[in-house]
Amino acid sequence: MPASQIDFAEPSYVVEPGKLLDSHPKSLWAYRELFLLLVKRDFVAAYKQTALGPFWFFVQPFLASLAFLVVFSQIARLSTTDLPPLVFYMSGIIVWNFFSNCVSKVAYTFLLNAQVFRKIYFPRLIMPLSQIGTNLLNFIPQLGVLFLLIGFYNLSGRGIALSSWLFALPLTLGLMALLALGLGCLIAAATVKYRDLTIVVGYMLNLWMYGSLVICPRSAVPPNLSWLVTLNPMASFVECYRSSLFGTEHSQGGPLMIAIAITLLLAALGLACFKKAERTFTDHI
Amino acid sequence: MPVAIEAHHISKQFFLGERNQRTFFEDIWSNTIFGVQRFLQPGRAGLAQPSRPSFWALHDVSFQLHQGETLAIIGENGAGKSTLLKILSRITQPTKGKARVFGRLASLLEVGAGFHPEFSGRDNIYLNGTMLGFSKKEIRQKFDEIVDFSGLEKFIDVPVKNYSSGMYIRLAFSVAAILNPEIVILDEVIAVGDAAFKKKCFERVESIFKQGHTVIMVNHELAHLRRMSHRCLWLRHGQVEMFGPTNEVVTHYERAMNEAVDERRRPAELAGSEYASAAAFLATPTN
Repeated sequence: MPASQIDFAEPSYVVEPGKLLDSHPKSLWAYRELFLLLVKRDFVAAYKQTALGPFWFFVQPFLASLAFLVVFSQIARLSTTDLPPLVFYMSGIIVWNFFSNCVSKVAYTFLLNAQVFRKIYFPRLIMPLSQIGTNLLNFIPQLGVLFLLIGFYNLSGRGIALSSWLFALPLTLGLMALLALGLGCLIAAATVKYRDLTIVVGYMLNLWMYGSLVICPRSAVPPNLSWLVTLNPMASFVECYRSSLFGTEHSQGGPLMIAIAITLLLAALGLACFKKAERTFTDHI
Repeated sequence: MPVAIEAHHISKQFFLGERNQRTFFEDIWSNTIFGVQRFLQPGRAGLAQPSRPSFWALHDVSFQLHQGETLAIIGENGAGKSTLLKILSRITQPTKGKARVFGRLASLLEVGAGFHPEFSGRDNIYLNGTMLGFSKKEIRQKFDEIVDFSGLEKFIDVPVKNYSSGMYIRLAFSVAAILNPEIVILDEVIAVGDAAFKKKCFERVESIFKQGHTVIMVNHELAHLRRMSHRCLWLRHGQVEMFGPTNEVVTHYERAMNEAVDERRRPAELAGSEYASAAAFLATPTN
């Protein structure tokens, strides 16, 4: 059948040193159906043979928000702007989970897919991209639960107004996804050589959250630590995300520019390292 | 006849020994020392990092295969056959050289690598097909044929983790065999599953040959190759020992192998065949 479809003037692909695995947009586009199937695969597989199934989407952020409520609001008495603490924490936790799951899943690209990568060729970048897609798909129902919570507060008389900047939300998520992709790819490339790196990454992500304005607004950060928050791209993105939801905080232009610059830099570096790693990793792992 | 694969001077170097054995901090440490030494003594190169031992798994391999031809790759273990296949299928890259491939290339057995255990057979057919570069539409058109060929109609909606290993391989083989990539790699054991399925496999392979597909055969019996393949590439220690019509190359190969065996054999054993002498050897203690 297919012999007639081949264009004999142009080879389907060329293998040569340094140019083996093409991750350029055109070849990625050709594998878009694989991308969608992988997203579906991971989305479905995550909740097979679990007791609560998809309810984990809702249970986990809810429990974590309750814990934060006790520790940071009741004991540490940190401000949560004008928002009820539960809404503040929950909105932060779901977006942080999105980011941190993206980073850690992308970081495992080579370790978990070594078997497949050794047997079948397809643009390797499809794997990390599909992880981002899966986590985005996980995030949406959680956002739905957040809106339900807001609705509940509104019904019980405590009005929470949504910001008119809601349309900027996808943009903020996109920036976080790009940062996660770049960072994850960078770590993934390093795991080809140092396999235990992913464990360190887990701890780092946990620590990182506390500096990313998930537990308190920028105004509550002690002045001697504010430089740390300014340099942390995730802090700016989380703030930006919350301000596009509620408008109770205002995004700071300077830190946001720094965050975008760091994101673009990390994305470029991460993708370059990933590309380098995918060429030779079958000879290493 | 248009070209299917064009390989020009392909070489692949592997490093031996200590690669990847050091930890992160050891690497940082040795790179720092290396940097300082280089800074202090710019003239002397390679102080802290002695050149690693390496070998060439493939060296200067060139050949051309036309559309519809069958290529047999022969050679002893470690001659570079699988390395060559890995390079042609883009799993790894060559150190030097270039190959141009026209069409999709897939191995009939290694396809199952992309199966996800939690997914049903149905979903895995689509997942694997798209990994091989086929569109969902193409797969949908052939779906029934794939299921029919695998003989797994009853189990197609069962997760593949519950399949027996025979069922698993049957499904994997069926995906690649029915989807018909333009270039097919036939590895050693094309006969998988039980006797009935084995027969089906052979028939399918025969029809792949008849349909004029480009086929690369590895690790097959020489008699089988003589009958089925047009061209033969004989690799020895990573280099092309001979490339040409199968009959000619296989004849030379057999002669070389026999000579190698003869050299190792004691003169008294020369008379019988390899098996006869082995049988005699085994029989000795009882006599």
